[in-house]
Amino acid sequence: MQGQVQSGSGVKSVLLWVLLPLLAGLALATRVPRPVIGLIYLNDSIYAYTARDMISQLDYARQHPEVRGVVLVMDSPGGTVVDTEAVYLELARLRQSKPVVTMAQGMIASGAFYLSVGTDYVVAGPSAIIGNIGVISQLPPPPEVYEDLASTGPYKLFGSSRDAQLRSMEAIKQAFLQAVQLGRGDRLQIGPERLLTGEIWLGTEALRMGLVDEVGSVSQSVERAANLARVAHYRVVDLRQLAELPSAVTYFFFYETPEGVLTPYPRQPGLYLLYVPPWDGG
Amino acid sequence: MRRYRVLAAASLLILPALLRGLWYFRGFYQPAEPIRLPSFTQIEPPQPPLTPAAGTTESAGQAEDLSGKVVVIDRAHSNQFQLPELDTLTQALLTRGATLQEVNAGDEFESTSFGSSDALFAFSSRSLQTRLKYASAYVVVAPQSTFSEAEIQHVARFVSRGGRLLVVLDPTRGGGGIDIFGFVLSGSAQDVSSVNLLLEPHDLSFSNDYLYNVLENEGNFRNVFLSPGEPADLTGDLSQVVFYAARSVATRQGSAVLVGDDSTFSSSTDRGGGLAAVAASPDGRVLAVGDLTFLTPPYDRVADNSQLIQNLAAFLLGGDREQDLTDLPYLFTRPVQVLTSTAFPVQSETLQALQSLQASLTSRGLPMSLTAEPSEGHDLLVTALYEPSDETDPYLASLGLTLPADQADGLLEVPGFGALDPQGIGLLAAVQDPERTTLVVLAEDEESLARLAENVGQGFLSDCVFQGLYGLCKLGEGAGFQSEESFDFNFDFGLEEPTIELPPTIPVPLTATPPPAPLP
Repeated sequence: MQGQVQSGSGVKSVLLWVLLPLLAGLALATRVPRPVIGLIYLNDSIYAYTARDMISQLDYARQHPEVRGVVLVMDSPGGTVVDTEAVYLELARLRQSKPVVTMAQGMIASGAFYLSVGTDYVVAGPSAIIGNIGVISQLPPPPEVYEDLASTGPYKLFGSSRDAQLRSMEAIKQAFLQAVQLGRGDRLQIGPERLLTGEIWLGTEALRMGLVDEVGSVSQSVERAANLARVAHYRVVDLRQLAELPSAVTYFFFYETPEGVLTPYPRQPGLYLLYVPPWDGG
Repeated sequence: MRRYRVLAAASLLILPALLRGLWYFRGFYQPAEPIRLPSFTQIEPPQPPLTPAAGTTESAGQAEDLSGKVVVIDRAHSNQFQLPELDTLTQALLTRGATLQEVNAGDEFESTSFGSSDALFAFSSRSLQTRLKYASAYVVVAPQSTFSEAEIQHVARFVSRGGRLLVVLDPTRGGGGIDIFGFVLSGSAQDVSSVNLLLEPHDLSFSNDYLYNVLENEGNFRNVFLSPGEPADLTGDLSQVVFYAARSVATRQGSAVLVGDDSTFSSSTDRGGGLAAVAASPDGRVLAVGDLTFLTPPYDRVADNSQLIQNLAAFLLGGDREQDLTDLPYLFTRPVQVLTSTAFPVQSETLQALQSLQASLTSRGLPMSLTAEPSEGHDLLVTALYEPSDETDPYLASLGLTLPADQADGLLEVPGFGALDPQGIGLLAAVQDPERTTLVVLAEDEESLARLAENVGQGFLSDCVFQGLYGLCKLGEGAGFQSEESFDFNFDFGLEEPTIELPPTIPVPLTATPPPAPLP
């Protein structure tokens, strides 16, 4: 009888001091999330809609601790100045707590390259198109006054003089150059006289010039992000899903001819960090 | 004992989370370095180095009065510019007293009934040739269509006689272009080979490129700073000039007038160092300028651009243009008096011929009048037959002519030409001195004289051979020349201008009795 009592007491003791803490510990361990390397895809130009989506995903990554690092998988010719800068500044904010790696899958030109220099590490496909640093814009028309179109100032209709717009572009270009120089730092192997030509380079060339850090694949860029974040056994997740964003839609960013041919030119005049590839007119 | 149990329980509580944490996390992320961003708020758009005091007014006020000089602006070659774009240059020319004229492709063609494209081309060429007879300078800006061989020769001859030639190209005024943003934008695909043919005799050529500088520029990579080179009259008072997209200009023996620094590159080579955007021919009479934009507001007030424009105006009017008989009917620069021999009555044909001359002179603002007694301040046209005349003999005597009446064989002896049968031949002779230009027109009879005077008035001198002071013109069939192989006498109503058939013309010297010149 006494043995039964002792045995019952032992079971209780095990339950109380071993099993219960272990179960509680296991339960507690589930609160330690499995790290996530989030992927943000950009397979479009950078304009209001794509920038909004990217910022939402960056914001999600910043606010969710399980996301330990982010990989921007880009294939983009760039886009508008304001949207590029908006994403760039959000990247800088995220990098204060989490590493961001760029994967140049097809093209990171102009504005997309601007974003890449705002990340910690850049991986590029061997033949990815890299560079095209600079600004493009259509200048406003020469000053004219119209009999039937009234305005309250000489630049009310078009915003600025041609000369002023050209100079604004130069200021934007200077910021772009600074972003490249600050972002790439000592890794940069070429000077501004080469950077500012607006050339594009292959991934392998860009590696020699210090514009990218490695020639590789998406998985390598994910591994790099994980290394920088110091995590293992992570999950790789498309942040669009986590952020519960709808599927990416393509807004009509590019100009379409009356015959329905999509051109590489923006639909609207403006200031762009955009690579416009040669086009034969369709 | 209880203490150990608590420790064990706590360990068991923490261990799964710890193991899970160790399984997933190998450390803490540390940003490699402070994340630095561009200093957006510190970056300001570059501003142009304006020079409000650089001055058209001041410079022009000190300029020499050059009234009477004519600057012809080419509009006959699909030129890609509007005249108001040259306002700063033309104002500088007008302030100096110059007269401006355009040469258009269709001017003379439209006033005739000829309709073929060949006729248009020929008349275009003649129109240019006509204007170059009295012009001091010829300005060609952004031509698109080709210069004909005849035009190139006319211009080369114009320059060889002291005329000034200014050729301005601009890579943004090309014929090519791209369709972007839904608009067709002109590009730099302009073919420079045509204008280079015009410049080739003067050791100048444009490159099919544009200059750029990504490091030091005036607000944009294609807005390049240029420093003065040579010669001093073109680079005077210049320290820095800005061109807004400029073609480079090459010359072997000429002068690089404005050059870029080592970081100013050519788009065709992506290399730089001493590239010229303005260059002058070895004789300093031809200037090739690679940009048009600097002439237009507001760019004409940047750096020393306005001073450069003044220098260009001075260049255009700075030539010492030689005149000779080939410039007829624009040989005269003063009001003209016509002196006719009283040995024959003035006929209606003669009056008609004089009317043609008067029309030509009037177009240049020079009145013409008949006179029996020449007066000072006038140029003189003497019309006479190959016969002695009290009125005209004093003017013929100084020419060294021997008239048929003074020769036993009845031949006309002209210095440099020898003895000629005067039948069917008209004679032109010019004497220029500081007070007066005298043109003598001689022919065998009244009818021939009227025809010759009319040809002079209309400038139809393709049947004339010029040499030194003299010109011999075919007026009809005769035995004056033994063989027609000596000269090309194909009468073509002026549609075909003589090109290389003519012997070289010697400018009229300022002496009344030139030494005889041998026949070519």
